[in-house]
Amino acid sequence: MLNKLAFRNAKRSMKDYLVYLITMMAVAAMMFAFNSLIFSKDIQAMCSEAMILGAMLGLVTFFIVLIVAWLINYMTKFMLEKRSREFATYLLIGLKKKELSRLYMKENLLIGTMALFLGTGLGTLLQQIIMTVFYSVFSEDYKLHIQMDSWCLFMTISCYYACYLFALIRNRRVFKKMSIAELLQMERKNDELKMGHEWLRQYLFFLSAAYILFVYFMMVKGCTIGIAMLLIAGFIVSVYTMFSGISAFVVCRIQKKGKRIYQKNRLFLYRQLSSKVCTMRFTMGTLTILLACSLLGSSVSLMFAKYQSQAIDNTVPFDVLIHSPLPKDNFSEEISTIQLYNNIQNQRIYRIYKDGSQAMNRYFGTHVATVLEKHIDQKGNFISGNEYYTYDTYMKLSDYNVLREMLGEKTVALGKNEYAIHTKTRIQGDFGDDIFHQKIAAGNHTLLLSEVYTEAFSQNGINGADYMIIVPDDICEKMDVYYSVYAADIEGEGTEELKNSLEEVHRHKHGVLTYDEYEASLEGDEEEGEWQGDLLKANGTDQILVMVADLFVRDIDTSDFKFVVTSVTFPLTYIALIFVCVALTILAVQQLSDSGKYKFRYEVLKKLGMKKGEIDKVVFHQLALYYLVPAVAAVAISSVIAIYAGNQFVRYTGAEGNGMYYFGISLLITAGIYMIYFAATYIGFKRNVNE
Amino acid sequence: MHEQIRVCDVEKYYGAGNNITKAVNRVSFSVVEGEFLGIMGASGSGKTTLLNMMSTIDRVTAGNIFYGSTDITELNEDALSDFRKENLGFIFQDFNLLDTLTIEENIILAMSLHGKKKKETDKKVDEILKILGIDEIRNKFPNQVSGGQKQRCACARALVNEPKLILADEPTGALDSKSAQMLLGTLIQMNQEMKATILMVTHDAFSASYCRRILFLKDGEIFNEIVRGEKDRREFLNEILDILALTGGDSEYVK
Repeated sequence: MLNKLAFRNAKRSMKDYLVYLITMMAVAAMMFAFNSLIFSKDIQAMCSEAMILGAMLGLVTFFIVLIVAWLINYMTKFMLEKRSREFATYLLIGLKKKELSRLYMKENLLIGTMALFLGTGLGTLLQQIIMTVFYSVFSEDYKLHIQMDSWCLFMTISCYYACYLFALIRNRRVFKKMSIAELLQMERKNDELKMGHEWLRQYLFFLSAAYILFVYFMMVKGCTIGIAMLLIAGFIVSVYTMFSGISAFVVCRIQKKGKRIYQKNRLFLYRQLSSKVCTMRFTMGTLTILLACSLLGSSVSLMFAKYQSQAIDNTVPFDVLIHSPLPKDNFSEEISTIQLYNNIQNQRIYRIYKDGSQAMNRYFGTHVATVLEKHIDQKGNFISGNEYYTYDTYMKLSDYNVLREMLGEKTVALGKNEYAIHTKTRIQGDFGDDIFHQKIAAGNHTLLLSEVYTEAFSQNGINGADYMIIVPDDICEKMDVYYSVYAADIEGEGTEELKNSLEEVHRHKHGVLTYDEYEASLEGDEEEGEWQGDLLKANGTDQILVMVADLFVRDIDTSDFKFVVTSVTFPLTYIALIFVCVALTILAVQQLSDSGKYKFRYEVLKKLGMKKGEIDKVVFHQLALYYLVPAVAAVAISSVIAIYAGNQFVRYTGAEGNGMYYFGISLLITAGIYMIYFAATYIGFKRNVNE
Repeated sequence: MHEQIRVCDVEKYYGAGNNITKAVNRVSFSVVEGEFLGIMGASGSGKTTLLNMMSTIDRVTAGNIFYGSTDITELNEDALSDFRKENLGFIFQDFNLLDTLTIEENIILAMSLHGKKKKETDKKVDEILKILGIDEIRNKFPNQVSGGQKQRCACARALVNEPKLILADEPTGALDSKSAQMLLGTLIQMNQEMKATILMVTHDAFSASYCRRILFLKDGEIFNEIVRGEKDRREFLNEILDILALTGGDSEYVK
């Protein structure tokens, strides 16, 4: 009998809390779809870095389980409150508390299982979308097919039920403490109306806002990690206190009885809002933080996604590029290795020169923005010793032109006393007009700058660190060779095997272990030193998303790099979507159940002579205000961080666009989801009120 | 005093086909301006249905209800809303105050919806709060005051726009006897001093004894009508009780 009852109750709850059911379906669908990225055999075969994506998704799953557990806990508590009279009746007719708690748990599990079942079905569709997006990142075609990996299913189901486990254990305790009288009273609890001291409390709003501004100020100014942690903790607290303040702030405005509140239904709207915000201040705070995280996550994700191809183009414009510290390296071992796998279409061995001068290093040190290394002291004077390459790096014009041809660029010419600079687009923005007064003394000549070139040129340590000075060939003849570089265009695609063999040959030639050998050596002797990642002496100012290596095989490094970026963007998108859905579900469910509970308010308005259309308008305004409060707070909070971070990102990576652009797009996406939930709530609310 | 409201052959049926319940069956009466009219009847006698139709909340199945020369059964939804706003004030058993608004704000809102300006509103609200003796609790919320105070607030709200008719549905139903008495005093005050026309539905004889005239409803039809005239309240109450005894007395229960 109890099972039948649980089944019927679950059926009713699904109808009453359809939004919740749909969100749980969406959660299950997303869990399944994203988990299938971890377990997809095709993806594992695609790239050696697949593990990173799996690990990141796993990490994100942890947070998602926590948040979804919170949602379930919130919802079960919420439903319990709404149905407290019913539960009291069960107890009155002789059901034991234990049985009741089990009954309720069964109901919730039934709802959950239903959502999981439908969600997994939906997940197979979502899987196709995500896979298509994923493959398109790697410019590969994805043939639609459903992948039902048993491990993936297992992980989805266990994560999903883990949420329930967390949530329901907590709920059991609630049942234990409850008395019948309390259950009977519970439903009658209305919104909290007054906490007193509004006048004082409204200052919390200003205080919190001021604190948040202070944190922004510190963010721009910069501070130590310890202080930053404290600031962030305070930041979260102030988000919560802000909501306590907001309702008081609105109440104070009402109490002041300005003219505005005498207009039509204003008084009703403001009071509805302030009482709701006041009752839900804690929840509102949490929702704001969730929404803000979600906005930040999607901004960062967009930023990385947009920038990755740019970073790849800049770093690996050649099919194969190898750096060698030996001045006279002829790369014969490497060339013969390449030939084992691919035909070489075009190749060039060239030298990078130095003449002991630091003029250009000084100019870059004093003009180009950096994050980590300091090149100038507080007075703006150059500090030597922190340069990337100690001496300025030079290249012969003939080499430069051959390389340009390989890249499909026009060749350039230099006058007798002229030089050119090749640098990164981002860095060119930091140059002053004085760059053209920058003279170079090489040998007996004094050279003037003719042009700055900024095409993609792999300047993270191979073709110079950040820049390369191009001079007529004869000038280089008198200089010392700094290091050698080999660039090649090959026929067909570079393969993982080519890259591995090249890596092995190259490293052995210079007496360095490959990573596998290093790992093997670790097992024997634990006191081995650190593994030497590359033979470069320097790599330049690029930050955040940067590929540094002394050996590139474009096709392989590109997909490796994309994989790394994807392991940031996909999990961030995943968590952003879940957070938004959780936050909006709570907003929607709260309002929808209120529309039933406080139906009489609208009846009263009707009796006061409001037309149906006017009441619909009131409902619309009330919902819009209610939805806007956490949204506006979240946007206000996250926009500053996202735009600032975005601008910093652009500044240090040279990515296209600006912080505003990335934030704007993620705001649009979130607003889209917001609108769906809002529309659903509005329609449901209107239906309940007009019933 | 002229006739203000005329109810003509009003019928209200529920159900369809062979399964029809006549909640109100061919009821006719009229209300004179400034009158305090009571409608009494047992549960299910159709009194609330009648009130709902008169208050435009429910539609008639047949018949007409005239307010002056306006037949409200002919009006559409929007026109009804406007009509309600302009002409009617409501007092209910469960107060129906907005719980998120203070006592004062509940009254202000009723005026704001009429598009009244701040100055006029404040003056009127002040006045009415004082008259009804709820000035001191004006800044409290409904759940912080007693039932009697709540109901007086509802009276103030019903009265503030000077409606043609105040409809009271079991206004003392949720009150203790002392509060009920006070509220009825308030209604008399509204009726006599402020010349409000009041139509009160009740099944409580004591409350009804405050009215000037009472209609008795049974099974959807008016079966009796008494007028207080010059009688004192105790006499009138006894008269009511006699009729009530008769109402139940036509069956075998009273033997």
